[in-house]
Amino acid sequence: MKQRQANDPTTLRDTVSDWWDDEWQAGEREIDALLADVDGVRSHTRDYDLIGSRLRGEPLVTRDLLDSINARLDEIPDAERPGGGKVVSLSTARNWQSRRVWQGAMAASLFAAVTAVGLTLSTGERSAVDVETPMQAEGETDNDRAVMASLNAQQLPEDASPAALAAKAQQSGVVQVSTAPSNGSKLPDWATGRSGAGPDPYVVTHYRMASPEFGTTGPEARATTFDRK
Amino acid sequence: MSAEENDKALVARARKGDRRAFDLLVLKYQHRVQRLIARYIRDPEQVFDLSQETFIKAYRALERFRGDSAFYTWIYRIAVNTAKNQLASDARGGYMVSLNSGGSDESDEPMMEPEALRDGGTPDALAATEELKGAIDRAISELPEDLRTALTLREMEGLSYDEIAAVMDCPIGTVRSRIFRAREATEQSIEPFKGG
Repeated sequence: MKQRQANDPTTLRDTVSDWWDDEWQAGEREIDALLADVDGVRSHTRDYDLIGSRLRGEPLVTRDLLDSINARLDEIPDAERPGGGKVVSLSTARNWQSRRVWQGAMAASLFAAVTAVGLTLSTGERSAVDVETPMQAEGETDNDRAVMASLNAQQLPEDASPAALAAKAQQSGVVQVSTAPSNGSKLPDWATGRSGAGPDPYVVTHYRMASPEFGTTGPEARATTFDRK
Repeated sequence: MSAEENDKALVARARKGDRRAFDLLVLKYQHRVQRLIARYIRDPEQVFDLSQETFIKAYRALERFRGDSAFYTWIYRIAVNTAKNQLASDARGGYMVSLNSGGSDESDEPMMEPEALRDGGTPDALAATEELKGAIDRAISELPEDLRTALTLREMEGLSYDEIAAVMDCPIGTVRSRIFRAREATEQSIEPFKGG
């Protein structure tokens, strides 16, 4: 098949005629030549369409949409345009930037968390040595002393009756907790939630034994979260 | 390269960011796309909008064009889907259209006669179009017989150059030349009537 160079107007017209009819045997160089004069191609295709549609008896008025299409294509963001590597590299750069920001935020939050834990620990230790918390200022409560006394007291035999256990506990002044309805027994202030009552001593004791490192900062905060009713 | 391969070569260039390559694809197929959409949509302005939309969609989807089918098959499919989506959208809002137009709206009828691109606009535009039609008719009728026959077989019957060569009993190069000369002569005749 004949191949043509579209370097001059006549040849371009000839080339466009073949191309229009899908009869153009082109190589890359011929395509380059066609691309070099898109305006010329545009003019001829418009005429060829007019001639063909008239011969076929079709309505004449189609519109040349190239300008309006190009105007809309110009509005498409670069990232959404076909363009292979360029688009990919842009996108990669963007991902890399966002990844850096994300990693920075992670590192900052990790640092902040470690710092907060460190500060809490060091503050707790220092408090244990230097600072008297309200709980410590109060010293041992009556109940603390009663519990310790009961622990130090002579062990009851294993077959001791509940009555004997109750009597022993009463002697040592430990507050008895019963699931049975109250028979007029008076509850301590911390159990009724009256104002001015200290935190639940059992919670405080438990906290001191279970988490000595938080012993001075935790109990009050923790106790306030318990519903004493 | 065959025509199909030419189109694929242009697609490949457009994919690499060469907008002129996509321009050529638009120039080659825009009129056919408009006529195709006009078989579904009656309103000319909508036909132009949807034709634009078709090419915008195609451009955005160029990376996904695998080349399994010809480019024109692909772009026609996009055009048909775009037109059908518009019809579906019109149908969803059809009550209002029907009420406003007295219930005689027929715009959701697919495959209507291609009347959408009928000459519209001002009387001046209509007159100019009529002049252009007359000029084309005259130019074609004044063509030498062999040129007119070759062009007519191509444009009206859609024959390939090979088939025209067989019909006219001449070499394919002669067919190519006759068609080109017929178009060239007609172009020159209608130049004063084109009006931009």
